[in-house]
Amino acid sequence: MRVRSGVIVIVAAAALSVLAFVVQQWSLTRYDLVLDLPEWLWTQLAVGWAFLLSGLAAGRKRPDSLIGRWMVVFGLIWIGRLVFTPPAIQWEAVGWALALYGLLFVILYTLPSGRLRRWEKWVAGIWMAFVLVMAVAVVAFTDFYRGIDDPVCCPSHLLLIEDAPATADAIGTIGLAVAPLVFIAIVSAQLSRWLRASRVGRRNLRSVIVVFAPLLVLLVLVPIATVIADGFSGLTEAFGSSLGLAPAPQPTRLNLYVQDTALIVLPVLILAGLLTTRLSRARVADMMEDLGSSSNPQELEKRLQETLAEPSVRLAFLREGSDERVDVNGERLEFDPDTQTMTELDDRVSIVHDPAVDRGLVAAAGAAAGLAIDNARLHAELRAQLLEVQESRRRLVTATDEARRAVERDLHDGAQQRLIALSAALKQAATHGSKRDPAVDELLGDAAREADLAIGELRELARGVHPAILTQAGLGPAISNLADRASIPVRVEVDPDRYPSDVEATAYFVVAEALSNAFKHSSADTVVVSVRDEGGGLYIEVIDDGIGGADTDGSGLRGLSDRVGSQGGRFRVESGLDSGTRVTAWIPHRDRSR
Amino acid sequence: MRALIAEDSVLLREGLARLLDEEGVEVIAQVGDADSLRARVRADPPDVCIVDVRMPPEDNADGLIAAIELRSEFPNMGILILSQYVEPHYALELLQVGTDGVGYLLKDRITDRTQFIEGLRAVAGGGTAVDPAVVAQLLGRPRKDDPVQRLTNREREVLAAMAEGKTNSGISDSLFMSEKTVESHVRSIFMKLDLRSDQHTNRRVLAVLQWLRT
Repeated sequence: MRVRSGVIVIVAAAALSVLAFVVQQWSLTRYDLVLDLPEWLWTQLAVGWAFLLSGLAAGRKRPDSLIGRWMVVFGLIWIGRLVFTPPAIQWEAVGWALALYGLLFVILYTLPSGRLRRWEKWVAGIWMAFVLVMAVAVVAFTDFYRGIDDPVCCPSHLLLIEDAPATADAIGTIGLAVAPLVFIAIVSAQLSRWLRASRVGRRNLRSVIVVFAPLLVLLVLVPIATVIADGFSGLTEAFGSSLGLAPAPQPTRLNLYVQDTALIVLPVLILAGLLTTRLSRARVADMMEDLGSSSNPQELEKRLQETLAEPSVRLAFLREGSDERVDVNGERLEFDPDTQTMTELDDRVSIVHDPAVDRGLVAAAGAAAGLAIDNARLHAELRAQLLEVQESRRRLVTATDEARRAVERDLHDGAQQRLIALSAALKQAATHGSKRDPAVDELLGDAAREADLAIGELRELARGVHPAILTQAGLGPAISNLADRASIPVRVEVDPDRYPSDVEATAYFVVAEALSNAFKHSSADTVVVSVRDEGGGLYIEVIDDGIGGADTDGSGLRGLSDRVGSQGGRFRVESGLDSGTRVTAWIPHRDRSR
Repeated sequence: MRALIAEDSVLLREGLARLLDEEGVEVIAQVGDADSLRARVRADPPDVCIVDVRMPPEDNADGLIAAIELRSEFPNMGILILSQYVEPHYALELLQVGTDGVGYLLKDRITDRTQFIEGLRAVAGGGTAVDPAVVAQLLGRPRKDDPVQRLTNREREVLAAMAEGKTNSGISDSLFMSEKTVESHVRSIFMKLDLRSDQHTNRRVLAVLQWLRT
């Protein structure tokens, strides 16, 4: 936080504090109450100022973290709520709940970065709304002046529906039952972050321990103890008692006293935590140093993220001979100049990060990782080239399929129809006959038979190029047709669903080739073909009970392996002697870029 | 007999129309895609539709799909599918929506005028016609401990004729045997294949084809 806005915040808070003091004094005189106001007000102001000042200090020393800002906001709400007095006293309670259960929980969850990711923002928003609704609901059924016979101030506050301690109690119990659960969830989230972090990452999470260890004891135990001891009405009465409006049960006052003290200590703990993990260039370089050059690019990027305590940090490499940037996996990297900053390490390597992260620190971390980053760049370049080759391989297969389909279509629409017309004409000529010359009739008959043979052969050819039934009715009928024309019995178990056409085509050719091998070489009695949807892909299995020993390097199987590989799938042939042959393939059909 | 031709190849469509005309069949319309087929039939249903499996607009099995649709709307209209493919799958799909008055023939059959007209009349008359090539492919399918292999040659001929949709008297004519002999062959076939016998000729076709496919 800049100095200027810091000063404005302090002035505003001071003004609010003075106003609160004056208003509360006025209200005492106005309602003629006798109470220990100073003690209460001083404690509350102390909590507010503790947050405010710690927050300002944190913002100064750790500009990368948003925790400081959250703390300042907490302090302002906390102090601001103190200016409310009868008949608007309800806002004091609402502000209290919003700060304590709303804001403070967000602070604890986001330690040490103070940042919420997209879905987390939603969750935090919903939680805030829940706290607000609960607070308003409790207030609506609570008359803070219960038992005070003062015609001026009663009927109490503006939000009051009726004074129903039982209802308020019930709502409050729900709220106070949910709050510890949420708190436990926060602790679990922090714990799992700790467990997932590497040795280096944990150094950045130390601040969390500094805050949570003492807090766990105080913040959970105190309210729970209060509720267990007195129920929620105990807390309500405690409010009253703080204002001197109702006689206070001693244990509750003690609890509140402990709680207030904890709230004064807490911001100091947070500040201390943030300062212990403050990043300096020397420290960043130190954390990057023992990396060496051996680690892989993903690990390197993770180490950078942990060292800079910023999960958004990404390595970006400029590809050779192009102005395209890729990430550590060689995939195209999107850079949004509105929300991201790019710190260049050299003319090829940069680090993309959140603008809040100090560029100097980023550069220091990058420089310390020197050799490893060079390696990562080469690795990313290779990966990018590999991805390109894979993509072009896939395109080649797709193009081949498309060409096959086109040839089949042309045969169907052209030559096949013409041959049929030709055959019909020849047969007609032969039957009408040239009565004078039997030799001509015979020739015509022969020609018609030849045409019929050509029709049959062309049909087989078209089928082999690309079976139309595959496009029209899917794998099941297409494979059934293969089984019809087999030389040994084939059992077909095929999932009836339809899949992308290139997946179906590859699956079909795998089955066709495996079957044709089995017919030719296996001496099997039966073959089983099964095709099913498994793990986001199509799983194909062709098993025979023949003599095994298939030539896995033969051009047919090699071609299949290439074809399946081009689609990011797996292909395998197992063929021991006398154990039959098992051809399996898996072709992904979901989560594909196309 | 009033017929409608749905075929996207102009060459075949016109050849077919001429052939039918010469045989005294009235061609009420010629269409080249599945949508016009639907429209024409709904406007004025003929006695029989001759439909190409593969047609625009999708150039997939559009003709077959349209035919199956129209079949349920006009159960008394005959449907003869013409196809370039020896595909039992299509024949079965068609028969499954109703076995009376449907046929699946290869386009090659057009070249044999008498055979083709015979098939067309059978379909228009409520009978069934399945292309011999389709039946042959199914009969040739290898099976474990194949019951078809246990049939006599004569029985296998009768089985093929049944699968093609011939009636008992039709079988007796084409195989030169008495109807009594045909009946006894049919009984024996059904027993050997462990099929429930069905006197209804058309349903018998579906039962036999389904048996052959599995």
